[in-house]
Amino acid sequence: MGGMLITLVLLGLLARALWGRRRDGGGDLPALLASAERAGIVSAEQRERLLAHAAERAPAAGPGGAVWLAIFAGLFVAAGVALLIAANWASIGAPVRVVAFLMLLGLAGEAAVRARARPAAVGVPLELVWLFLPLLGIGLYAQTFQLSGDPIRPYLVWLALTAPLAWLGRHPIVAGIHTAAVVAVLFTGNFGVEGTLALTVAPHAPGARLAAWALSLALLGVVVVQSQRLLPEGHRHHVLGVAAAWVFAVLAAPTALALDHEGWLAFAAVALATLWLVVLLATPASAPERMSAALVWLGVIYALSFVWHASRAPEGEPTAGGVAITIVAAVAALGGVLLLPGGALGAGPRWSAIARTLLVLPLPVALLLLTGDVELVWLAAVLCNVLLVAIAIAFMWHGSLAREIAEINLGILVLVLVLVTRFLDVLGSFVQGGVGFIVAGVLLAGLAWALQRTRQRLIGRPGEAG
Amino acid sequence: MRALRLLLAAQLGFFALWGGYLLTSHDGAATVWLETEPVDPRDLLSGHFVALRYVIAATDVGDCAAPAGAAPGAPVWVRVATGGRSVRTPEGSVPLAEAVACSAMAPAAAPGEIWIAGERTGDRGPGLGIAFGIERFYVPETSPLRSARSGQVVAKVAVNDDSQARIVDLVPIRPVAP
Repeated sequence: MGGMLITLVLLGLLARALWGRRRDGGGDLPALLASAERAGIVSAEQRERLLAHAAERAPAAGPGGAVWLAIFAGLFVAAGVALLIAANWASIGAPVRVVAFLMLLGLAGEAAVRARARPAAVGVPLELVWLFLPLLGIGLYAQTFQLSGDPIRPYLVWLALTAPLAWLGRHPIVAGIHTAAVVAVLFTGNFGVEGTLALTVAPHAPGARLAAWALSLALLGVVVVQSQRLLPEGHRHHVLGVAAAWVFAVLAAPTALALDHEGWLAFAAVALATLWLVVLLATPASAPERMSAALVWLGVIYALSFVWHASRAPEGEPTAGGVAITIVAAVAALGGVLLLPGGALGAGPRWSAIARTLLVLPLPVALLLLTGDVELVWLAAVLCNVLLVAIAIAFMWHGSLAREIAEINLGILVLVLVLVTRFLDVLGSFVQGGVGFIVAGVLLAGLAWALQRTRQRLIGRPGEAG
Repeated sequence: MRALRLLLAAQLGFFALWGGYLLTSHDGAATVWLETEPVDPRDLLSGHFVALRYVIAATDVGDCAAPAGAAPGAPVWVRVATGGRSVRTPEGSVPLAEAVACSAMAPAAAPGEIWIAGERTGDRGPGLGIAFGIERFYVPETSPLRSARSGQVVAKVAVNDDSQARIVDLVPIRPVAP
């Protein structure tokens, strides 16, 4: 007990010392402004306005040492109560657990409601506690009353119970977490576990999942609406990636729309990634949103470059529905690329044409995987490597013209990735020996030096018209 | 503010009603002892529990005999009754209930009959055959049952008038001395 008291006192003194130092750091402004006024840098009126502005922006007075002591004391008491509950959990009856949970939920909810006008540091944690407490309650009831069954239903109930909080809450982070939770439940329920949302086909009941399809589409609709209405400006288009990933998962998993054919799956991946990127290029999406789509598109082409190792042509029995969805996505991607306004692709008609060509080409290359000829599959892998190098050069070239360092870096990154991968791919067995490692290291160092010189030259190059 | 308080009231009402139902739904319910089968414990999402599968979940009596046309999630009712078998437990010798009838339609239970409601399961997940909603038994941190496995335990199950089952206890089977 004595040790705990000494710890509390020391923590309080430490907090007070830190807080005092922080406050001292901002106390020179009036003297600085008075000195600036005397030196003729600012007028008296400007000094007053600056002081008023600083007072408005100053953080609210923080807690003093005594308050910090109280906070730590409260934490110790809470930890003690939690330990007591944990140690006696088995002997706490079901009615006590239910009543205690109801009280906790009521208190947390009321505190979150009252904290709406308070700063985010107080309001956000309380709203988050309120958001997750119903899930905790469902788990508590399941544990207390030994409930089991559909593993996804509790999460659906939780999402429904807390959806109004996502819409009425003051902080976008709560809406963001709720939306992300809907996405996680959608994917887990559709493809991860057996239950209400499972889209995977039972062998003896292919038509039994209609309700799951309807519910899944409704959840996808919730994700779309919440993304558009509740998420911050720069994150509203991530939903397109979610939709593309969901459609691909539907095609890849053993659902009623399964493709079940490696070639068709690869073609679908290229079509959906291209469509996602094209739609984002056509809309006022943020740079991180477009970068996500571009990285996935590049990743798909990069993955296809490994089909060089295929020992046979892709085979399988795709469903008609899956093939139809893939073709629609490919046609939409192709049409989107052709209809994109030139300004969305680069400066000038020449760069627009290059970008259009590079966006379209992976589609016919991926079609080679549907031919049933393994040599054409290998050709597709070679063409994917060529495409990646062309894309990297285009990024670097356009970046140097438009003075976009991010584009140059992305181009360098793609080029390094392709060269290193193919180096290891082709000479993988060679680097098993000690000398091979040394030679490989020297070659890679030379490559790094050459690329760094190229990058610096491109960045330092004067901008030109496209 | 008002809308948020309404939301809070709705949540409290939901949990209060659900909690009240769960607290009273098995008052005075009949209990049976069910034999379990070995199953790999699964922890798909969270929680410490013993994963259970029951012998009666694989029964082929009555309507349970022809599951080919049954879709996953289709309701099914299994009537259980104590047979001649029993096992030794720390609570003494307990009679095991066995499936004696099965119906795809809600049965009109005669006095003294115990029917347990379940759902047909798909080709994945625990309890292949029929799930009764009693396939998990949550155990406290310090319970020796944390290391229990289905097949080594018998479940004491309360079944209310709506044929809903709930595990009351899980008891290890005491090996018979040679």
